[in-house]
Amino acid sequence: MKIKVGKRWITLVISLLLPVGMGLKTTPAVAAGISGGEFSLTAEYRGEMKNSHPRPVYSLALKTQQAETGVGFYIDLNIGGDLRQLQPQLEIGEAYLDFSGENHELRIGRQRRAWGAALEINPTDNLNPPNPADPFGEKEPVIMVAGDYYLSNTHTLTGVIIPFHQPAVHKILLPAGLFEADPVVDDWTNTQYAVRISGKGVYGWDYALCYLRGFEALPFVKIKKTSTGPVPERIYFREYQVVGLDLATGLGGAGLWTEAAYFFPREGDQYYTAVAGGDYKFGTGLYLVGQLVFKKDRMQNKELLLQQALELPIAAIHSLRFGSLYNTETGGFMLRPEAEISVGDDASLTLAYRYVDGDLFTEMSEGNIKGNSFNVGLSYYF
Amino acid sequence: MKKLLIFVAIIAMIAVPRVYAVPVSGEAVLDKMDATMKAERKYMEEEMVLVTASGAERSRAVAVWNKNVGEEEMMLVRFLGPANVKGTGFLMKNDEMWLYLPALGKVKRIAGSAKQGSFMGSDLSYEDMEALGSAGFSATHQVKAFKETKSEGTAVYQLDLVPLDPESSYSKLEILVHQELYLPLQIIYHGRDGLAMKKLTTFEHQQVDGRWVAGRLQMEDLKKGSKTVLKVNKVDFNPAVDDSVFSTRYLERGI
Repeated sequence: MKIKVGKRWITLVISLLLPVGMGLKTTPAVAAGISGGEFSLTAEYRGEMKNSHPRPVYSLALKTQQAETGVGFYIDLNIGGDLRQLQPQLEIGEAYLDFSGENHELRIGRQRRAWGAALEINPTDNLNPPNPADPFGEKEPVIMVAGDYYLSNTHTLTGVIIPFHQPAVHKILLPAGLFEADPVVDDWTNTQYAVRISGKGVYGWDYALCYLRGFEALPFVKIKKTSTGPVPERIYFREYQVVGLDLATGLGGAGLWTEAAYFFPREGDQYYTAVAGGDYKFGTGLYLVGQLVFKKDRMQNKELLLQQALELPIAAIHSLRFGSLYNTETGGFMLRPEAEISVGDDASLTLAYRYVDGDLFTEMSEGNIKGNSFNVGLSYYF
Repeated sequence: MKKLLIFVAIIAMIAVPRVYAVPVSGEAVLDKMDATMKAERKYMEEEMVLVTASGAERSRAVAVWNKNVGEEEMMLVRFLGPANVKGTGFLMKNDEMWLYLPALGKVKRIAGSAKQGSFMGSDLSYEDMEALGSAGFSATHQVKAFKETKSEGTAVYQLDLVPLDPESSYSKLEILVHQELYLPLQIIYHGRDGLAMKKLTTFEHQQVDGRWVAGRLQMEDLKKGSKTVLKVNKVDFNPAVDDSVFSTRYLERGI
């Protein structure tokens, strides 16, 4: 949820939060003050920018939270944009209330829920829509009511209700142009819901089984066959049901996991995604991850992806990371080397390069990142 | 004669208990040291300062809950600061480990091989943390050599220990134990190649709840030249927490 705001809005938000963060007396509603945050400056260069200077971007994330026995709240606000233009955007991240008891927790509001044991590609994680600009990153928060009931120290039953459908994108690019998808009507019969039972440390295994009834995050193009050839009949978000499973365990020092989901759309063909992977940490601190992703997408294309990541600590406080993804079907691949240099207890410098060649996925709307980019970012945490 | 008998009796009353108090074997010293350090349950708040070979310092604050009863070894660690790691949680139950990263918003099982490596980027390994935290040394090590000596003017017992676990990162531990406090003053850890690998030194010994504890520990990596200083800010040998604390639900919820 991005809103362009003037300086007055930002001044108001900061002036509400800052004094209480400094310990001044105020009303209970804002008594928590700023409990933490991050300020970052990033220089971002993309391949299509040719000889231009990197784009300077700033971002200020402010978090405020308070909790006492049985009740608490959390809000995070992000203010940022292009440093040259000073027309900041205010983005509300998560904003929710927590109610907890000895064996249960209820969270109401705009929030993220991350499900699944795999790395970055989690087929069972369908509550929050992906960010189209960063399909491997953090998902977008949505309004939901989520409850956890702790059946025991190892087992949890989770129920989620999502009243409003929030897609990843509203439009889709077709050969004839950019088309807006029909939104899901705000009607109580369109309420999305999910249940999940999970166990951790059960005879050496972690497991979860989940079910979701909701609407797809990406638009679907229903094709009509005509005498002149196929034409789009309707662009909309299909209703679907998802059944998912994830498992994780350890074997000979290695971590192993598998995660799979089967998707049953109300109209059209069924599809699935299955992931299997493992990780290992060497005595030197080198951490290796490998993962296979096998899927049949919504257009019934089958594809196999190979994903790899490694992390190596340097002098205990810095780290080098390298990630790659290769699609055996399309031949597309992505390389992501990254270095994180600690410049203080609360500050770090990140240098990241992303090289993409070809299509990472067979279905175009599914987060096919285009172009190479280089980022240098300095972050301060407080 | 009567005066002489009284004098001898007084001397005997003073001397005999001292004679019986001195352990006669390395195993007895190790048992007494474990009795001082070990606890079925323990809670500590520590500041962990990482000092790189080039002298750069990074500080982290952690809260650590330990439970060690019989075969059960459990440890829950919560990062209290700095801001970029605050809220990160780590749970170890015997050979199983989970990590909670607030940015990911979920608990992730981590590979058992991580136990051989560094504990949260420090110069201490999980194996070191377990032994020093609550598990002690006597159940997992065998005494190979024992003698009484002096270290910087302090009377100490010197023990050479060999780990019983063939998977251990070490081939030998040389420990200097304070003869009155029964705390390790220094431990030299030898790697599988037999060479000295790390050195632990303890400082600022003080009594908490009638037990002697080290207020500051320093682990040096003798090969890399880095060191980690653990400053113990709070110790509780009988924390009011039940077993459910050592579960993944508390990794996410906090305590």
